[in-house]
Amino acid sequence: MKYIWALLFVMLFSSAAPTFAQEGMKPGDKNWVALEKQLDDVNNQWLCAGKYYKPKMQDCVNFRASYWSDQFFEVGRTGMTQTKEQMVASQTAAATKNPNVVRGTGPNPQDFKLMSVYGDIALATDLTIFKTADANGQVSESGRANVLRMFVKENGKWRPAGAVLIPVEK
Amino acid sequence: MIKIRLVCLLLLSGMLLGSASLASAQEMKKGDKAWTELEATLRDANQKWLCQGKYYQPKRIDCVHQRAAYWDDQFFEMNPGASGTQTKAQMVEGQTAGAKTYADVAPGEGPNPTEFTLMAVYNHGTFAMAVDHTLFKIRVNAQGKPDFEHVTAYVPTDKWYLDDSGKLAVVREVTYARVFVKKNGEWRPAVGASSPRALSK
Repeated sequence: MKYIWALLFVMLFSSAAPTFAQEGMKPGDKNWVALEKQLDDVNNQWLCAGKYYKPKMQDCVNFRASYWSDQFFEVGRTGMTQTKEQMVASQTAAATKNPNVVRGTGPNPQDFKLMSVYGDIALATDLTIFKTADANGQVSESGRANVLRMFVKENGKWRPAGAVLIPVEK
Repeated sequence: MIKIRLVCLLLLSGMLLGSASLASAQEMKKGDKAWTELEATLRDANQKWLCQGKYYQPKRIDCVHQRAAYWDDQFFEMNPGASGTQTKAQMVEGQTAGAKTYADVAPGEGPNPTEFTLMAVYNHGTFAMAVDHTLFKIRVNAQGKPDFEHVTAYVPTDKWYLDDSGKLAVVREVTYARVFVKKNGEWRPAVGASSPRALSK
């Protein structure tokens, strides 16, 4: 009889454990701060920003195509929703037209903040400053957006799951 | 020896059952029956979130109370304009203040979600991301124009159009990302984030 109870306990634990693996983390505690830092870095990788700068735009597009979760999607600053496939296609077209990237141009995220954690899903916000370069290579701001950044942990690795860009009026 | 065998058997059972439950939840694919059913469930949850359709509440404060109970504790919302990013507590506080000033809601007034589309499902079927096209409507005044004097949270604009009923003006349209978490068997709003789009008409 006691083995039947043990079996039931194992069954219950096994189905619940993955879901609640990261529940219990609270804003400001050590684990939360560590995860926020980790995802801030993931965010920079996603955007090929800072130390992840890539001089060739296509290299960044190729990296994103392998980094984004298969279900990745993005709502852009004009309210248009694109799937991962559509994003890769449009960014590849843009990279063909403008293959070189001036350092510091493109999306520059700042004020990254982890807002909520649900098991293997994390939701964060940042303020992204978009910059472009003129014909002389002079870099200047072209726009900014508050961004919802969504991440999923798959096979032990955090990956971008989606984004929503909300334009900020100057 | 028998005990060791039994322990091994228990562990193996647990592993198999655990992976089976994960696999079953993650087998859901865009367009299949389970996906379509979940999309319908979440479309209804979205209506409940926004107090629309069968969830219409004539008193604004009743909707605020329902949301306060319905939103997950970690809920937050991101919108264009001055409100920016707000936590659940900030949202409830702001909407409660608005409900005191403007107590009544006309049927159909407020956010009207259309084209609800489930985009992604994660966390072993307990976390879902969707988008919709939300139309913000307000009642029209005696002059047949949007009655900005009797609603909150809308910046007056001269760009608007009448909806099909002819009684409400559409003053703003957005693409809204609607994110839900399933807790204790119930889907609840976890995040809302909207990006503005041009008026349809």
